[in-house]
Amino acid sequence: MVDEIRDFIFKYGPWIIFAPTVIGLINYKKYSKEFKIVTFYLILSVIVQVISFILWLNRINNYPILHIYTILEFLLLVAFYYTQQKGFWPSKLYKILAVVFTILSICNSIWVENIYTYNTYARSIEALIIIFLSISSFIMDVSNVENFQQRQISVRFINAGILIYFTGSILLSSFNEYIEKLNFGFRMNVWFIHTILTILLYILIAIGLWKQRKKRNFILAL
Amino acid sequence: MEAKEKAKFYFGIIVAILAFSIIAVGFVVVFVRYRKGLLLKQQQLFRQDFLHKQELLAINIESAEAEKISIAKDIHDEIGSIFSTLSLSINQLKPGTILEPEVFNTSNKLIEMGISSVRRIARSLAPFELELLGLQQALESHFETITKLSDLVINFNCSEDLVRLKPTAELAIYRIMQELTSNCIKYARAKNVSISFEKKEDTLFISYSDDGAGSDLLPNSKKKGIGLKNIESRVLILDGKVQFVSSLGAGFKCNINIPNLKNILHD
Repeated sequence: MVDEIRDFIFKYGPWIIFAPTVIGLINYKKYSKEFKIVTFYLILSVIVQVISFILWLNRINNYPILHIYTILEFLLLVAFYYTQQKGFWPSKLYKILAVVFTILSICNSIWVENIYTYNTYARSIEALIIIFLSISSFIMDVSNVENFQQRQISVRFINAGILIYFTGSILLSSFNEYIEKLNFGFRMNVWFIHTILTILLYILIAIGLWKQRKKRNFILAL
Repeated sequence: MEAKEKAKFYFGIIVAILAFSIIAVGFVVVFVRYRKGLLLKQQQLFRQDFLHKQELLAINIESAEAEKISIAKDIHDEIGSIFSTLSLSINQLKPGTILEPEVFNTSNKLIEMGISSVRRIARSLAPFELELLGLQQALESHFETITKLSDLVINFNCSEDLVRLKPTAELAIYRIMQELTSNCIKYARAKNVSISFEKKEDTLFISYSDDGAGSDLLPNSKKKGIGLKNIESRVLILDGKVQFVSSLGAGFKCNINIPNLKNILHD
C-alpha cells in the first residue's frame, strides 16, 4: 500500500505544476511584474517537464535539457527577486549574478561536466544563490513593518516554496554522483523526497498566485 | 578516489556548509529584524494610546471648564438677578412702615424662585437621587423628565440584580446616559430610544440605540464630537470598552461593556 502511494506520487505528483500555471495564465493580465515572471517560470518548467518526459519515454538522455533549464530557471528567479527586492541590494548585484552564472554554466557544460551527465556544479551554485536571495527576501519582508503591502503575503508563499525546495534539493544536487552509486531502494527514497519538495514548491506558488488574484478582484470590486 | 571525484566531493561539502550557513545567518537576521519591528510597532501603539489619552484628558478639562462657566452663568443670571430683585423689594420696607401684602408676595415668590434655581443647579451638579436611590432609579427619573418635556419615547430595561456601584462609577454612567440622551434630543431628532442595562456575571453590558438621523463621522475618531469623546473617557475610567455604530439615516448605537464590576462595587 505504502509503495503504491509512493509510486503514485512519483508518477503524477510533479504534474501538479499545471495548477499554478493555469492560475498564473488566467490572471496574467492582473498581475504585477514579479508575478508575471513567476508565471513565465512555471511555463518554462511545464515545457521542460513535458520534453523531458517525452525523451524519457523514448529512452533518450534528457540531461542536456537540464543544462539549459538550469540557466533559464536561474535567470527567471533572479529576475523575480530583482523585481521584488527593489532597493534591498544594489541592482548591479542581480545583473552580475545573472551574467556570471550564465557564462560559468555554459563553460561548465562545454568543458567541465558533459551535457549528458548531471550538472552538479551549476545546480549547486544556482541553489546556493537562490537560497541567499530567498533569505534576503524574508529579511526585507520583516524589515518592512511600516509599509506593509498585500502582495507581500503572496510573495511570502512563493518565496517559502522556493526556499524549501532549494534547501532540500541542494544536498541532492551536490552529492548526486554519490547518490547515483547507492542501491536502488535508497535512491528511490531520496528522489521521492525530491518529488515531495517539488510538489510543495508548486502548491505554495499556486497559493501565492491565487491570493494575488483574489486581492486584485477585491480592489476592483471597491 | 579519482581526482575529479574528490573535487566533486569537496565541492559538495563546501556547498552544503555554505547553504546551511546562509540559512542559519538568515534565520538569525530575520529573527532580530522581526523583534526590532515588533518593538517599533509596540512603541507606536504606546505612543498612539498615550496621545489618545492625552486628548481625552484635554477634552475632560475643557468640558469641566465649560461646565463651570455654565454654572457660573446660571448662578449669576438666575440667582444673582433674583437676589437683586429681592434686595430691591426688601429695601422698600423701612422701619416703622406697614408691610404691604404686594411686597410680601413678591418677596416670597422671589425666595421660592431662588430655592428652585438653587435646587436645579445643585441637581445638575450632582443628582441627589443617585446617591440616595441608586443608578437605576436616578436614570428612571431622568428619563421620565425627558419624556415629559419632549416627544421622545424611552424604553429602559434594567437587570433586576443591578448592584450598587461606587458613587463615582454611578455618576460616570449617569453622565454617559445624560450625554447620549441630550445628543439625541439636540441632533438626532429621534422618536424612540432603547436603553438596556444587563449584568452578566461580573460584566455590565449597556446598550443604547435610537432611530434618529445618525452620523457618518464616527469611524474617524478625530471628527468625533466632544460629547462622544467625553463618553469614551468616562468608559476608560471605568476600565470598560465602548463602541459607537452609526451611519446617516440609520440611527445611532452605543455599546458599552464594563468588566470587573467587583472592582467598582459600592463599599
